Amino acid sequence: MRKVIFLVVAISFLIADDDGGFFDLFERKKGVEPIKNELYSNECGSCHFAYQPGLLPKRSWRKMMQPQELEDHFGDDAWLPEDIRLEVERILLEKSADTSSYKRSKKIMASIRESEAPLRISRTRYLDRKHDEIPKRLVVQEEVKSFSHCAKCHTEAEKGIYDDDDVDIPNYGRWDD
Amino acid sequence: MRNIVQIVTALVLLAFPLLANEKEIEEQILNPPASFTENDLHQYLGFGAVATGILAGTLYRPNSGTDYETHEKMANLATALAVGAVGTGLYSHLDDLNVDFGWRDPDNQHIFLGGLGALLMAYSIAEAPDGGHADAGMAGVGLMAISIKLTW
Repeated sequence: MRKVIFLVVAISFLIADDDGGFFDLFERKKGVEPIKNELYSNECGSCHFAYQPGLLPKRSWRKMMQPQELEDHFGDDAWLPEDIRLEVERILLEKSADTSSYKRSKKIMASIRESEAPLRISRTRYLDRKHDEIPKRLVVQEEVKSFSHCAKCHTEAEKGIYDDDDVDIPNYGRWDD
Repeated sequence: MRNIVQIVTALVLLAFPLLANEKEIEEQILNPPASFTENDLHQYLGFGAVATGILAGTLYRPNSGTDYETHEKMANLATALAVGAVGTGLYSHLDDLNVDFGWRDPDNQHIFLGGLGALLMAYSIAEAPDGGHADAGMAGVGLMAISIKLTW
């Protein structure tokens, strides 16, 4: 009986890891997968925070990367040459939330209905709920402006880490919820 | 506590100017690293519960002359740590429980499996030294380990 229990627990432990590899078991995957692609960082990160692909599902990135959508990219024209547009889209789809084994990506996916393809990351139900206790004055202040500027408060955002412990809101300090 | 860390950090950096450049000193003073947080406490209690539980289970062999008293103490400590981990988790992470996000949410899985693991460990020491308590104890430690992995 003891051996059976041990076996069940051991197998469950391995199944709990999506990527399979044994050593991958010990890799920390608490946030979202950081983006390490130079093209992506240059093309997207030159205008705004280079949001990690693991923050939205494939269907959202597909929709966002349509040429007509890019012409009105949250009020700005983000037109890209076709080859670059396709390459950026490929990067986004490859590392999207629905293919990720990182915890926050999984939580974002769990909060999105299958019929939904949100374009604003900050409006997903998970992030909406995580931010619901932040006073509006701290968000709209000059140093932050909106929830879309992740790195203004999440000091490790560029590494894909969005822990409570790493939050430092301008003119307020560390956030303890 | 944070002020003490801030002062100590500043003193250390100012005392060793060769090891830290001006920018690093300024950053450390203006934005000191977080001191020991509730998250850290929750994490170490969970690790401690699993580590102590494994030791309690693996170092003792019935009828082999090994020390039952040490096994009992370690099992009690493991359970206390597990209960502490669940308690601090509920205190500092209850907002991460999202019932309407369902089983796919890794925090929901973590809370369920961690809680069940701690319960099994408590059941195990309540049943000890009768036969069968070891199975519950091992399953409890295993579930807690899986629970940690799910949000690691």
